[in-house]
Amino acid sequence: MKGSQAGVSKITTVASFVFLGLLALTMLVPLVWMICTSLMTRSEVLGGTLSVLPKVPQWQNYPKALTILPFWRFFLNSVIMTGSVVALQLAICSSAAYAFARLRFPGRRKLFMLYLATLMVPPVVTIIPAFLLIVELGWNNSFPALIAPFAGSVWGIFLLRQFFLGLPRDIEDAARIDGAGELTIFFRIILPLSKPVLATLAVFAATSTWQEFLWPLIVTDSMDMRPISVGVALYATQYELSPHYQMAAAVAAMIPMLAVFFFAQRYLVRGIALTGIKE
Amino acid sequence: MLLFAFSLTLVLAAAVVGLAATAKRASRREALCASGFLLPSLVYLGLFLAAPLAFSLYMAFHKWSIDAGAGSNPWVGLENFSSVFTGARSPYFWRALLNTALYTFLHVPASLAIALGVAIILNHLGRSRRFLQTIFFLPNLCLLAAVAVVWRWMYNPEIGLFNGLLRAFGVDARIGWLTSPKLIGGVLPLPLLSIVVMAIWMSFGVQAVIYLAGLRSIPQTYYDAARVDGANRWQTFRHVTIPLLKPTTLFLLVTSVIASFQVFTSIYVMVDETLLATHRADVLVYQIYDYAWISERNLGLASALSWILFLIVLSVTIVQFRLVGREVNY
Repeated sequence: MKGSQAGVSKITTVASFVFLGLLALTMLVPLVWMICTSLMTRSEVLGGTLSVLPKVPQWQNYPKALTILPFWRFFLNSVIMTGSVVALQLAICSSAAYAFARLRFPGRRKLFMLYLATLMVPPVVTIIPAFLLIVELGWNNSFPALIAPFAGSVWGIFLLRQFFLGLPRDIEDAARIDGAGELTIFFRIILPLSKPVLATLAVFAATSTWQEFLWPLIVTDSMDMRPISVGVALYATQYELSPHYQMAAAVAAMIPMLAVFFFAQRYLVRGIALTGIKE
Repeated sequence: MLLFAFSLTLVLAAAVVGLAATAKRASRREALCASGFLLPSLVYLGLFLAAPLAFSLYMAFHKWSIDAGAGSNPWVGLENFSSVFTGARSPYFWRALLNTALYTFLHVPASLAIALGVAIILNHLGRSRRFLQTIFFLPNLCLLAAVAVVWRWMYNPEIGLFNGLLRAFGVDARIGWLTSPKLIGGVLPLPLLSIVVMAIWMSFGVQAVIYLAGLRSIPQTYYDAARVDGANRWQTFRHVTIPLLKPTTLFLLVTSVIASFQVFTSIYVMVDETLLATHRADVLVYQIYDYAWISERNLGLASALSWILFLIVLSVTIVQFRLVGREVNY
């Protein structure tokens, strides 16, 4: 009896492994297809017969694709935008989270609830007046326009506050007795203890900023201010009949993010677990 | 807008500092310190959230041409709202609302079901789990705009992958996956379905990882108890796993529905431009973008529509909490 049960569970394990393996292969098809197409000649791509592997890999597609549109400029714009947003979010969210987690003041609970309530507002509601604001400031088509609307994040404040609440108070109290001020405690005690959660916030801020599409589409109108998301979409319309260049640009646009976030996976999962599941 | 945003932000900041100053003398220093720590976030939220939110409601009652200068935006009362529901533009609105709802209710349940299935199987696997998990996670880490460019190409009617595969099996396929104006069953535009498939491909991996975390937090004792009681696999799944995963499900459901209601990038990149111009494959956020910056160039009308979207998302979220949340015990 026991033996047959073990046999059954072995079969299910193998079956599920095979099933998931096949699913994983299907998952990879678009990515493999993208890479293969990026290495084909135009006539191979447009030939009409379904060919998967390029006859001779056309590596020169890459330098060509990345220069027909200012790809590196798009890339640099995204790096500057993402870097600045991450830095600003870390600063703004951590200071607000510290106030909510550690300092007492009248109306703290209500104000925090008010902050959380803003999470319900879809970004599309605020972008139209924010666009006017940017225009009136004379910031359109510039880095401040790309960065400022993402400088803070209520989700980030919530994430950091949850973490700060869990930090032991002993060290802090000892420092307070020694006469340390709030700034000292914040910079010398809280922030150094919070490196993992700050990393989580940084990764989340970076992924979402790198993906940002609608806002940059609205506030930038020149080629040299487009970030990579909008830039790579331009290939689809401007080089409609050169899919090999489109795919090369797509590969080049994906790789840096994959490289960075492949190693940051655990921070991503941790962030979701911290805010989502454990209430 | 500039003056309004700055004054509102100033008022907000002053209110919080003023509130802090009302604290009892002993804790006043701490309270003022707290308002100092809050100030950067208050300035940010004032300028880019509170002021735009209030101002967009104000704009919704005006005809606000994007090309006209300031001071030439006449008050139109409820006209922007009424023109969305009745009149020449109303078919576009209902189409976009239906499309957005179809997109959400096809994408979210399918994606969550696949994610749960994958998570359960992954949970049974040993060390090999990590590798597979990474592959499923992979699409979520790709740049959406780039993914959309790739899938746009795969859906190409002449030389794309999908029609190519069909032809390899002997079907003479010339399906316009992203261009066909026909409606499946009279309701669903084909391009929308094509994009749903891509969206599922992109999203279920990360959802599976979250489900897996939920599964692993269920104590083994519950399963042992179920076995002692003679429950079979299905009963265990139905009465132990599903109820205990409810907080995870609620979280995934609410966040994915909110995100799906705001789908934009994939529609913008993938759907054929001429088709978009007919409003056939429109979704709400695309329509807002279109009214504000492309066809009407009327920011007032677009603001009115954005508030309608806001209220819809809000009510859908509340309904979900009522339906699912009622039975969640944290």
